[in-house]
Amino acid sequence: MTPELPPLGRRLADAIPNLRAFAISLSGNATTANDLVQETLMKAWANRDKYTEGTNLKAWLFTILRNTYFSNRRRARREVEDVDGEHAAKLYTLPDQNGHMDLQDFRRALDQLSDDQREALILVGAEGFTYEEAAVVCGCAIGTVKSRVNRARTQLIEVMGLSSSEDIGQVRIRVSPSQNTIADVK
Amino acid sequence: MTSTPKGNGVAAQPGDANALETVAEGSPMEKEQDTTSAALDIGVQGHIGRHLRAHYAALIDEAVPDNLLRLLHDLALERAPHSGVADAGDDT
Repeated sequence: MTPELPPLGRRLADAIPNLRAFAISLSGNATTANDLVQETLMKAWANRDKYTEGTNLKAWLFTILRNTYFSNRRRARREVEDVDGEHAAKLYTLPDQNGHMDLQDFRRALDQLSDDQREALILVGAEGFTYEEAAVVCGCAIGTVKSRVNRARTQLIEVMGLSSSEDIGQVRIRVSPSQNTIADVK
Repeated sequence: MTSTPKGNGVAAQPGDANALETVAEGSPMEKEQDTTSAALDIGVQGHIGRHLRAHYAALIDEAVPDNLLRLLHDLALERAPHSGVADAGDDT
């Protein structure tokens, strides 16, 4: 009974999980994230004639989402003083799937990053955008993205109290010097 | 004066652990960061990269709320004559 979505609708539907993950990473809140995705889909649909077929739809959608997030946030900041603590106060907790303390610690550390750093790290390190694509999404220079990713990583390491692989504990890592690759050792 | 990023390392590969390690040198600020990165243990960087991807994958795997899919259907129905993006044929 449900009518088939047109091609763009299907592609938007396919993008929802990633848009949601990015929105949660930005806002730290599932409700805000769902609202953000909803707003993004509506804007994308309303402006679909501005999207050029064959170009990077995901980057286009991510740009809409992040611009919407920061513009909403600026508006909220004008209304409420203390929005800076908002992210930390509403820490999003995933249902504990594997019970890994390790991952919970990581999420807490991630939440301590600045918006700019977390955004850059997620786009490049998790979402797989190139630095160029991430720069387009963030509306900044490529060098700025690189610098943010670097600082984010450094801060994560600091917050997690890691300085060498010896600190990693149960996660055993073997570094192959010849190939400069990293492999998990069971 | 203006930082011109070098081509090296611009394109991070999706899901590549080294994506977090290939920050090329550029502005003085980045150089400062590079000094820090040089001192960082490669194992620690890999550890961070894996956690980041595991964290993000868990978010992606969450069920999509029904209302978001319903919204797309509603939007598509509103403009039923439009079947795609590129072909902006007139609707009435």
